[in-house]
Amino acid sequence: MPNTHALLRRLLPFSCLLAFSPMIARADITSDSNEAEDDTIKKNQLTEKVKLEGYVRSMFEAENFKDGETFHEARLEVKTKRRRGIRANVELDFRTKNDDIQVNEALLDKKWDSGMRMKIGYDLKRFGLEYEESRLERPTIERSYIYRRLELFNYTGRETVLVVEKEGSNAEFHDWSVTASFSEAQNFSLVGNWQHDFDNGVRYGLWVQGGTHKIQDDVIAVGSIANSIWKRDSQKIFQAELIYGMDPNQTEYESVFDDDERVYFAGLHTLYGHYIFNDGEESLMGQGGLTVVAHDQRKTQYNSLGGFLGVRYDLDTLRIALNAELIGTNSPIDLKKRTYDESTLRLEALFAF
Amino acid sequence: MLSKISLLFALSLPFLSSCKGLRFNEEDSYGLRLVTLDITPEEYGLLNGQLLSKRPAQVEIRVAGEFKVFCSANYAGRSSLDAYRKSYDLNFCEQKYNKRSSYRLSAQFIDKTLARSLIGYEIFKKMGLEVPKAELATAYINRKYQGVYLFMETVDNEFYKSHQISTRELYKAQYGNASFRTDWASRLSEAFDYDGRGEDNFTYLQEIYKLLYNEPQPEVFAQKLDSFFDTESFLSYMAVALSMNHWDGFDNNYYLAFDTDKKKLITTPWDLDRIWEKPNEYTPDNLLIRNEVLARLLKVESYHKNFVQKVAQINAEYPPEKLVELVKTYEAQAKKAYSEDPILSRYQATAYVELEENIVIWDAKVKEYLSRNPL
Repeated sequence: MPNTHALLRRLLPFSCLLAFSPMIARADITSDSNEAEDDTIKKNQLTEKVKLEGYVRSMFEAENFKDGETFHEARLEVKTKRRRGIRANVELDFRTKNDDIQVNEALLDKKWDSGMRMKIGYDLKRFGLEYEESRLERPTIERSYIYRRLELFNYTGRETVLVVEKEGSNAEFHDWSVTASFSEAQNFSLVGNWQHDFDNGVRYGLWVQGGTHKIQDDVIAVGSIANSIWKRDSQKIFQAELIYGMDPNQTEYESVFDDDERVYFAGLHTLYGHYIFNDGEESLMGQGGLTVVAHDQRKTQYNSLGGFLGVRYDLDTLRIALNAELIGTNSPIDLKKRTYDESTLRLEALFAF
Repeated sequence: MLSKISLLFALSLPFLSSCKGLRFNEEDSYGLRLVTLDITPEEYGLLNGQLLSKRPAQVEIRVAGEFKVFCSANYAGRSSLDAYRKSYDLNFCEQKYNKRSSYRLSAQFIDKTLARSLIGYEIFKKMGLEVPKAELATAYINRKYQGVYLFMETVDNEFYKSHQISTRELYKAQYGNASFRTDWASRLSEAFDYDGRGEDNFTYLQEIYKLLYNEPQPEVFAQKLDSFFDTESFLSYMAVALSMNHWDGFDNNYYLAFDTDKKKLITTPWDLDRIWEKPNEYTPDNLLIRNEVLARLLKVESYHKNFVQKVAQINAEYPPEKLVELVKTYEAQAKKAYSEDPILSRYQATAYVELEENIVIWDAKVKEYLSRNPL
């Protein structure tokens, strides 16, 4: 009986998703009865007002390749139709890992004819290529290791944001953007981004962030810069990123307990993916990458070296991917346990709708 | 086609063969309770990004390798929120550890020995008060050693339930305003945090205020107060607080819970990381005037005698030699974990010595108080 209860609780998020499913029903549903026609009209009216997107995915994750668990998620994104250039976006995650629903995004989005756009609300603070892209656009299951450091430093993450951006010729990316954001850890930050397409299909993005960060008994100024260069075509993908800046956490430690020196980090991440076959609808890609994060070089502590191997199969909106990440890090503090590994094996099956 | 099926099968293998194993061994615990938290960087970012609102992050919690739950954790405390070394409230969702669905992983921001609470709660318990279970623990977050912490119960309705006490109203003294001075009579929510059923209900505290300021006769005040306030429990609490210079516990850091069997408010101690701190700054006499209810009760001879008896009993049962011995016991217990603590290790040479010295200094002041107040 408790197992049945637990199973029902796990299924609850998906039942919520199913409850929404009539909304995404196609408008061409027909029926002989008047009642069904009324329903169809209502559905048409609803789909005219809102657009629903999202995905369901199952994940297997084994940290250190020896402790594995499986969990499932569904994401639902609701976008209203623009009126006077304004629309609202809400993005929800339904997760079985802890049977909860999380609000990822709640935004008002205003677009002008000139290509200018403004967004305000709760959203990701987008810093660097992998934060600019959505999960569906990203070639790998999770963001690369360097971005996980940025999340710990609060250079990225979900915050209250005000974004002004100029749309680019490429629908996927903008030309430039300025984001002001607020969080309780960082107080305030400003992120500027500029992107440029080169003739050979290579795109470059520069993100510059400055802000304040609360530390024990003080507030410090922090900053970080991300340079990303990438190319994606039907044969291969390539991206290289160089990210550097101040580590607010270790700087706080130094400020409170040591010599009050600022601590900086720098990370380089590369990813190469080659399509074994790709006919537009169905593809198979092999991936490989390297990550190096250097940190507080004076003491050679908290430095990481990582390798990445992956394979990804796509069939229309179905994606199955296997990623293996090997990461070794030496300790941020001078202890006996100077090294530890943060390696992970991930397998994902994702279906987008 | 066959090759694609083989590929799908190969990719699915890990789903079918998930293995469970604990990553930590005995050595990692340094002989203490091992508490490990695993937080994804994204959730960690959210935890830090919403520091002040104490938003819970999704966390996998393991205790001593025997208890594992995926639930949530949030930063705990008030003044320690700003500290580099933070405390965490661990929530176990529907699972229970020691009959509790939540526990505190406390950094004891002020107390660099982490022994103060352990000794303090032992003395409160000896004097008949309910105290949170607390023990030394080694903490890891995402496999990084965080150092020595206290792993302890929090005081809430579940605490009393697990201690077989049926309660209704629960008030937490806060912000150093719970002195029962007139300043806070109309701002009770700034002096006490209400954790009872439904809307804030400060009726019992308002009754205490009414008695304090409308009843000039100390004897009548005490008699009326005793009808809904467990003065015995309160005096025991205050006697222990005085005995160990718990200066932050007279108008702060205590709980009043309405025991539905006794039909009285009982007192429970909390947050002892400042006991025996600043012994040269305080005296027993200036502590006794920090709480108006205590000051009024001590004007009644029988209550004063009872209080002094309790102080004398504590002083006899816990002489400085015994207290120093207890400090040394906890120091030895935590020694290995402490020496590798990224922060506390730098205080190892001084923290315990300072506590021992403070105990001796304060004991002299308590003895002097007892000599002026003979039984």
